Amino acid sequence: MNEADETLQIFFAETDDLLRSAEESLLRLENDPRPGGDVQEIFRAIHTMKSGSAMVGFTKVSEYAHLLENLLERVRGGQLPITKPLVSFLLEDVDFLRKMVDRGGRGEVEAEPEVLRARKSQLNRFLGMDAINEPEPPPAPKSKTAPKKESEEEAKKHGKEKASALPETDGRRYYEIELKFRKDLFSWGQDPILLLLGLEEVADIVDVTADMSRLPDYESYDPYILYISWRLVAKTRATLEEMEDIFMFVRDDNEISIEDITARYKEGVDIAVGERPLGEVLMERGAITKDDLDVALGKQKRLGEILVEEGKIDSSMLEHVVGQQEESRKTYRKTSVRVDVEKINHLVNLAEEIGIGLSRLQNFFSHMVDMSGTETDQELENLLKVNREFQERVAQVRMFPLEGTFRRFQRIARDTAFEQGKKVRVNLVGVDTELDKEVIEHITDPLKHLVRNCVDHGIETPEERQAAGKTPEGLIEFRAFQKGGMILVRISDDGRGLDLDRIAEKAVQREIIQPGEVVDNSNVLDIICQPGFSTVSIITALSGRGVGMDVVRNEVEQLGGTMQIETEKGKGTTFTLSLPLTFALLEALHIKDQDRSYLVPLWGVVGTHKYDPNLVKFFGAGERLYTFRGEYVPVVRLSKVYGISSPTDQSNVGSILVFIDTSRQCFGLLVDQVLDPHQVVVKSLESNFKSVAGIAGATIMGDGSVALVMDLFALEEMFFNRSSARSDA
Amino acid sequence: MATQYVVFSLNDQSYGVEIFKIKEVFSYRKITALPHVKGFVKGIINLRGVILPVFDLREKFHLPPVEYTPFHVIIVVEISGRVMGVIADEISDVVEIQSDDFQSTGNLPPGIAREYLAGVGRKDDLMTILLDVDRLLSQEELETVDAT
Repeated sequence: MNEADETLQIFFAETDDLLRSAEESLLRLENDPRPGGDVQEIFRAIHTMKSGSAMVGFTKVSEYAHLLENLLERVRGGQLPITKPLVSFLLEDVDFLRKMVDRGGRGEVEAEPEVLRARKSQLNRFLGMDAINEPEPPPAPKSKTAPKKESEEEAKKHGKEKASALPETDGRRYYEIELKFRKDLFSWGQDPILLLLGLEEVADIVDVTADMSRLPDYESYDPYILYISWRLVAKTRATLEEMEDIFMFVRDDNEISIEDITARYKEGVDIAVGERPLGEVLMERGAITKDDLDVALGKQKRLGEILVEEGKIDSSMLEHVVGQQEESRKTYRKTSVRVDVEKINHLVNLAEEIGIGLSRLQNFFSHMVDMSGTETDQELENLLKVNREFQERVAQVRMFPLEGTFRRFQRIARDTAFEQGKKVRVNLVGVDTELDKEVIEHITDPLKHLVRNCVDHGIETPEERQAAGKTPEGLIEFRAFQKGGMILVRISDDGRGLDLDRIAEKAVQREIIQPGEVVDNSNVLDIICQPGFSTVSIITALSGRGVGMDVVRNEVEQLGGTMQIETEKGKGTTFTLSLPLTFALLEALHIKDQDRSYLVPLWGVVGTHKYDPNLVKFFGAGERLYTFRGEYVPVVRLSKVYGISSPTDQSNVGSILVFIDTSRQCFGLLVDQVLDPHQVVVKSLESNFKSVAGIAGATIMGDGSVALVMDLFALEEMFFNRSSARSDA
Repeated sequence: MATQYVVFSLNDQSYGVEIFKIKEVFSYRKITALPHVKGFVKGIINLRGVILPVFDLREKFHLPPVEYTPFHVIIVVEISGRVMGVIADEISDVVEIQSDDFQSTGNLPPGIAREYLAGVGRKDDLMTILLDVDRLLSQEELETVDAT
């Protein structure tokens, strides 16, 4: 997908949501017509659509949304009452917008100009109605002291009205009605909409044209003045007199003319008709249906075909060009559905359970009889394979390309650079690489920090760069790729690199390292990831955001990922994040203690060691320190940390030590057994229960049993904050 | 007016829970204990890929503890969107209790805290202790259990 395509997909999805919410709000409004939250909601939806559609180049949608926004603005401001006709009009508008977007998505014109014009004139009609509340009450009798006609309006005779003596066909007659109201109609308690609605009760309105030529521009628009006049064609059984009665109260002071045009219609010589497409006119007369028209139109020959027939071009040329055209129009919508993540998770759960069940079945069978090669065995094998694929497919539903995220970073990098008068070029590589949506969400903020850091501190000003013999424009590259079951995300710049000397200086000051210790690529990350170790004051004097690198690294490690840094003075810095494919998957070491299974996230495990009493040093009341890789590391029985009383004799169990390094502190846990590392799906306890201290979640093992996944940071806390009374191990 | 209750036994006493609260019943399986969680929360189990907590009412009602066997059952209830299991000795029946045969909590001895009870019901001279599971397994209740 290219950038434009993706933006378009986002727009489509967004439009669906917006229109749906607008629709819901409208339906609520219909039942409870009060200005407030719902109107606000509709306004927001239309407003968002306006800017969204303008961005993707759907100008007609945007234009129409803009008009709608004006209308809604007045509803919101209370100038326009919420009436049933208004709500149904707005509901139609929602459909109209949806249709335009659909058509636009298929590469067609969003709306035919005449359709759009008709729709707009209807909308403007509503924009003109201020003074009424409900269309139900009949028009109030009008005072006789009405002023005379508007001077600028062209004088028109009432003489157009004439009784018809023409024969009726099906008892229905056609009338052409011209409505030119006085400008100050509203102040006389009248409203055109009432008249039109009244008309609609006795007649089918076949054609409406609104004349908006007198509509001023927005600034000089006065809502109390009527600018619009109408021309209608109505089909009805009513007589001319009855038609005239509808306009009884406004007839004298306004230019209303009603003309029976049945004869013209009958003979098919309506002059107005001459200007309109034949099909439309035929349809209007009931001679053909819409479907007939569409079919007939479909049979019409295209320009290209005619040209081919006449030998102007050859057909291969035509096909070629048409093919290209079609290809270029194919910004078509990918059919997609938005699904609650919960539902997907449920599917993942079930797929996993099927897998566990199948492998257990296979296990049972293999213990009973020699199954190899039998049909049952093959069938089971097959099911396992199908299920494996099923699991993968379901997991893929949650995967999204990194493209969108990268584009945002590109933007951030540009903006940050611009603010500081720097120049950067951003390269994106591997934007199609897919990651679990949740992982993407979790790494976005940490990565944003890194991007800002890159520009803030990494990239030099153009002058500095030129002085250093580099191009004035700095280069930042985002690269994503898969490597051995992990996704690597790399952010590199060709800036000045980290100032290791100053970092060392500061680290010594803060007693993170010993004086004289060398700071290089292997340990610089550990130093700058110390809580509160401000990179800002170290690397440059530039005032910037005090980005806590510790936060960045913690977030990555919580996801089960790792982080690396490579920096070279004057050449640049590269941060590499290795992330698991999915959020739920965790690499963990399976351990057993007191017949309970636990999983230790592998990123925290630095080693295991068979418990050797000779390496133990006692420390105060019952605490023990173990010599591990030349250092004294505190160790304690796991059951102690978790507060599980052990009924068994302690001397012969707890034979293996697991050393944990959370990058803040290092400690050892004494457990009964260390088993294999596993890739496990972590499930939360909170969904049905509540969080438990020291436990990140639970997972289901291959045999269907439940094992607890450790929360190393919480465990560390528990480890070092045990009350001394309990630490008698 | 009659209400249907699922009746299960605990220490040879009959307890009833409104039938609509119950999602399913299955035989006892190994429960994974949680650290630092005491009282009547026994631990968690896997039900078709969903992790749910399991509660021991014997503990809550001060009945003598027993060693659980595969013959015990776990009753799965759903309360305000959360799914939980309750261990029982066995499921015995589904009974319909008429409102005439229903006695409210007013005249009952202590032993089981009043707030967990809906009342007692009588059916063919069999007394069933009707539980208010919403209260019994509410979030606040779990918090207090944890605190003690």
